Amino acid sequence: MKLLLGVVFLMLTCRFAAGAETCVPLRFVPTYGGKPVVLEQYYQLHGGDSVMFETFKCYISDITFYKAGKQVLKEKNSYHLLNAENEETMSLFIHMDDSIHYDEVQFNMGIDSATSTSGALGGDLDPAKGMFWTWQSGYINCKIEGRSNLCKTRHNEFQLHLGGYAVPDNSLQEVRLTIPEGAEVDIVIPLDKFLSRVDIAKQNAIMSPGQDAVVVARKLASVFEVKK
Amino acid sequence: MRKTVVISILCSAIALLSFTVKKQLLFTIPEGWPKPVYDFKKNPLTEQKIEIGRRLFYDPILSRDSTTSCNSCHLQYTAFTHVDHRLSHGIDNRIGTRNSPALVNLAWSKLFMWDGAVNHLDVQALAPIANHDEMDESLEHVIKKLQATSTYPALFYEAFGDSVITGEVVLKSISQFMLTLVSANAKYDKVKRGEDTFSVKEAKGYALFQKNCASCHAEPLFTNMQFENNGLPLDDSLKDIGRMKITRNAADSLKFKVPTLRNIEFSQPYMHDGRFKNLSQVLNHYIMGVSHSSTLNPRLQKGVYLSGNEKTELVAFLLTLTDKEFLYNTKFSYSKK
Repeated sequence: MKLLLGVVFLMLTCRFAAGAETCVPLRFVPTYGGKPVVLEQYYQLHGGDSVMFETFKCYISDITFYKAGKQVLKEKNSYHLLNAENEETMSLFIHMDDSIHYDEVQFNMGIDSATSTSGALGGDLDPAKGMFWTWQSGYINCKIEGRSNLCKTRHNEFQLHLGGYAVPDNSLQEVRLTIPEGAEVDIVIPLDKFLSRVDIAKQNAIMSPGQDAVVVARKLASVFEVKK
Repeated sequence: MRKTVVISILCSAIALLSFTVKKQLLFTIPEGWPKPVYDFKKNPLTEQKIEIGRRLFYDPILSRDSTTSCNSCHLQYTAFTHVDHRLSHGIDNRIGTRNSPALVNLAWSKLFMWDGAVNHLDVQALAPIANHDEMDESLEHVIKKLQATSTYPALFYEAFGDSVITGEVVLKSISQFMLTLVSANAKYDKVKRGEDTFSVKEAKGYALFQKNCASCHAEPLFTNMQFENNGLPLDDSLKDIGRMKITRNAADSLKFKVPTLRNIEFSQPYMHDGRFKNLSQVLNHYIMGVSHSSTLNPRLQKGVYLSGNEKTELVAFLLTLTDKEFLYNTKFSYSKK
C-alpha cells in the first residue's frame, strides 16, 4: 500500500515534466539490515545491544549531474531538507532537458559556508525548521537522534547534531555516486554501517561545531550508496 | 514627439527623485561614515516591514510565557541596553551570563554578541528567543502564536504579500527595525559637521581620546568591530573566555567585541559582565587595573596614563557622544498604532 502511494506520489510530482523535459527522482532511504528504517523501532546491534532512531534530518544541497566526468546539470537554488518523519521530503525531483545524459550525481551533505552566513532565508533553509543553531550561527547539516542501551545518558539518548561551516570545523561533506540513467534512483543510507564506524557509547552528544562533528559527518557521508 | 520625450524624462526624473527621498527617510548613511555591512538588497526596507519589526521588538509574545520582550533588556532611553544590572535578567527572573549590549548602528556590524557567536543581523534574534535565561521560546512556536493573533497575519500580508508567517519574514522584519536604529546626531557629530564647537575641556578630552582609546574605539562608529582583550581579570564565577568559546583558538582567549562608546553616558554598567558601574571605574581600570596576558591588546601593553584633570576632560568628551535625538526619537518607541 505504502509502495503504491509512493508510486502515485512520484507520478504526481513528475507529471509536469512534459515535452522535452524529463524528471529524475532521487529517493533517499535510511536503512538498517537492508530494510528501510522505521522511526522509533528497535534494531539489534552486534552482541545483543539495541538501537532506535527518533530523528533523521539531513540537508542535501548543490545537486549536480555528470556524464563521463563532465558536468551536465547543476540544479538551481538546490537546498533540500530530508526529514524521515515526512516521507514526501525524502524524494527529490530533478527536472532536466531529456537530451541530457548522465552517469553520476554529486551533492553536498550540508549547507555551504556562504549560505550559512547569508542571514534569514526561506523554504527549507528557514531557521524555523529547527536546523539552525540559535546560540552560534550556522546550520545543523544532519541531525540523527535516538536511543541505545550503549549510551549511558539520560533515557539512553544519543544526539548527533552535525554542523559547523567555518574552517577548520567545516562539516559539509561531498558525496558523488554512479547512477543509472532513466530510472528512479534509490540512494540508501545504511545506518547499521554508519553505527559500525561510530562509537556511540562515547560519541553520543555532539551539539556544536568541532572536529567530533567533522569526523562523524565524514563517516555518515561514507555510507551513502546507490541501491543496486 | 519631442514634447512626449521631454515629458516622459521629466516624469521619470520625478519618480526617481521621490523614490530616493523616500528611501532616504528609511535609512541614510551619515556623512563620512563607511558603507554598511548589511546587504539591504536582500531585505529592502519598507515602512510596513519596519513597523512589524518595531511591534515585534516590543511584544512579549516572543517569550515562552509572554512576559519578556526585546525591550525588557534593551530600553530606548538607556541606549537600548539594560541598566542597573551587571548581568541582564530574562524570563522567570533568571539571570544570564552577560551584560546586554547597546543596540545602535547595527547595519555596520558583521558579527554580533560579545563573542561574535552570531554571524548576521537577521539571525541575531534567534539567540535571545531560544536562550533559557532570556525568552526560553522557539521560533517555530513564536510563528504559531503570531499566526493565531488577530493582528499579525494581516500586517504580514500587507508587508510581504502573504499572511502565512514564516521564520524568514519574522527575522527580516526584526532586522528592518534594528537597521533604523542609527545614532549620528550627538554633539560630537555636530562638531564634525561644523554645526557646533567643543568646549575647551571637551577638545582636550578629544585629543586624549584619540591618543589613548581610538585604536579600538575607532571613529565614527567608536568601535573597530574587532575582538580585543582589554585586560579585565577573569571573573572566577563566570569563567567567560569570550571569543575563544566560538573559535576555540587560544589566540582569542579573553577577547570580547569592542563596544561602541556612543551614548555611553546612559549605557552603564560597562563591560561584558557589567563589572564597572560608572565611567570613573572604567578609566581607573585602564590606568591601573589592566591584567597582563599573552592576548592583551598591544595598545594597552604600553599602558594608559591620565592625571585627575585628564580623566575629567576625557569624560567630558565621552559625554559629547550622547545623542538625545536618538534616545527620544518616537519612531523607535513602543508603537501605539
